[in-house]
Amino acid sequence: MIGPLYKVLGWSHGTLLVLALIVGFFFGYALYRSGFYSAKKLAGVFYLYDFAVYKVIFVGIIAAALLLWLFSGIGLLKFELLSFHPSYLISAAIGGFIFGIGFSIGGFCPGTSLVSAVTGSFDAMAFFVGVYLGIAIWDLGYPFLFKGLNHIGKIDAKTLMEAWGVPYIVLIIVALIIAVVTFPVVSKIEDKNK
Amino acid sequence: MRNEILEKYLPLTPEEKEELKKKRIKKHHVATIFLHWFNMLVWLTELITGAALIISSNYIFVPRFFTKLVSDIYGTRGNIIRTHIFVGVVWAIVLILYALFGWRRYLKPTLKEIFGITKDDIGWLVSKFEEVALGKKVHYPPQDSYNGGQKLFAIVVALMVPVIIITGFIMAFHLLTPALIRWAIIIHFIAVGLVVMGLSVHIYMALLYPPEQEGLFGMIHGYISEYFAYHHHYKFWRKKKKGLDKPAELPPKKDLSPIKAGIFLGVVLFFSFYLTGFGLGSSGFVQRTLVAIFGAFAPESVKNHPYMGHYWGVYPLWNFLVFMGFGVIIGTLFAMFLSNHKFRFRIEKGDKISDIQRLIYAVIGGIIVGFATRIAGGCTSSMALSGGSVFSPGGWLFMIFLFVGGYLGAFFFRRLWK
Repeated sequence: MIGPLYKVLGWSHGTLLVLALIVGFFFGYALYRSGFYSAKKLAGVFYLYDFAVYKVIFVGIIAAALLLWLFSGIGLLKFELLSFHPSYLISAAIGGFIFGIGFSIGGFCPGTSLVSAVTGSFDAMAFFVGVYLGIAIWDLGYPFLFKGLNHIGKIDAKTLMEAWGVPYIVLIIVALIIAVVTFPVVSKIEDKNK
Repeated sequence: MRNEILEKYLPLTPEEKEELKKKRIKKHHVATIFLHWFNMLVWLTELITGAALIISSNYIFVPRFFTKLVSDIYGTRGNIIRTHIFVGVVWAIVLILYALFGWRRYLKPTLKEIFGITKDDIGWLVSKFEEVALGKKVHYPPQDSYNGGQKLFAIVVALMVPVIIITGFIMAFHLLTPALIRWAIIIHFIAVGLVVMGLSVHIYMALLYPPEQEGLFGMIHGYISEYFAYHHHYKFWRKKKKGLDKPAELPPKKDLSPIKAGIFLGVVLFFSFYLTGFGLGSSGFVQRTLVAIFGAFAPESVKNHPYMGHYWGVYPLWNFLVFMGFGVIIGTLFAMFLSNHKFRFRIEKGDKISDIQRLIYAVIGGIIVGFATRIAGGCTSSMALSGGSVFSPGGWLFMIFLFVGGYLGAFFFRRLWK
């Protein structure tokens, strides 16, 4: 069957929600099995004693990209029907930068704090409450303080393939090379700082 | 008490009989008792409302006066449906929670027992048939905590309950295709019918069949006499006396290696895209639930709000990322229990700061992160992971700057984690 099934086959919104529940189930399962219920493990990437976050994200991106490339290559997936965020480059960079600072202080990101909070970590619950507060500050201050801050630097290209005119697989291979080169290095740093 | 009866079922001496009649043995945990009576209430409500909902000129299931009676009680047919669905959903949630939290201690051992049918169970069924249908005098082989007949019923229940829940959800929320919904109605009805067949025997046995009376009271206070246990559930009694009924502690599983975990996560992400066309996300859960909370107080202002208005939709909680968040919660609990980890309240921190300091910094970190997700338009899940896998320029920039910000933050805040 040609994906994305929900869009191609015109499934109902209720079905989408059930799929979301199922995907979420495995998402939570994967985050837990990665060890991301622990703030110490997550923060380790910034304090150089555990690079699991870096490795898992990188391998995850490559694995998913390979499957997406394969499936769209053999015609089983309509890549153009996938939804993802439009690129506001400056906003993404500023947001990412501030996000990183918050991550290094709090030891979580929103998804992992939810996972950790469910397993009983009070610091994760505190962080999760913080995320609510942070978003509330934005929401309430948006009309007169932050308006437009999330829409700076829009480019039309949705993907780097479009922007640079290179095939998907080339970018995946580049990411793979970066992983192969950097993983042994960060593992060494890890061992030194344990 | 002779030691031999711990090894083999033997006729009791009069002294042993007296001794065992005095002693009581725990049969059901309080959680099981609550679940049992909760189930009874649910089945009562669902059978009555469900039966009243079946109206067809081709197929008359219940007499018209019954349908009218129930409709009169509930006011309208809409109320009957709503009640039926509401109670059903609550039931499903309770059962899922029970399955999650009681998996190792209750559910797994129970499933193992009821599906592990032995020669003695078959023997019990044959003997019962001979006794009831042929009027023979029979000896029953020794039984587990469920006897052969109870196992048979339990198997039907264990297989049909998931069917009832799934078909119920398909019907209630009009999932998948119309053809499938029509099938779901029939399958729902048959599955319930199978359970009701067993249920009628179950209720008759418990209420009206004298030898089983003790079992009924056992389901109220949790205890039965050892004498009853010895005669009706010899294998259970023996296990209990020998202390073999406690499940063994399993060693906790280690986290997956980053490579394996990454592949797992990547496959999940791919399936999210393949099935729905959307990637993974987490901050959207917070944004939507927050909009729902604000909306509860001031729906009009939220609907017309220049930012929050985008997240209102039909209803803010009826949303992909909100449901994904709930899925994450359930999946996390499953992963925790299946890894043999224990739920424990805790605070994780570096050695140089106090618990209170850690919590304050966690809130501050959360505020910064939450705010940043709104500037970037997403978090690690949606921007870095999902955006990264489709090589969205914004996603990769977000990730690169996340690490820049993270290492800068780490330089100033390393004291927190030492």
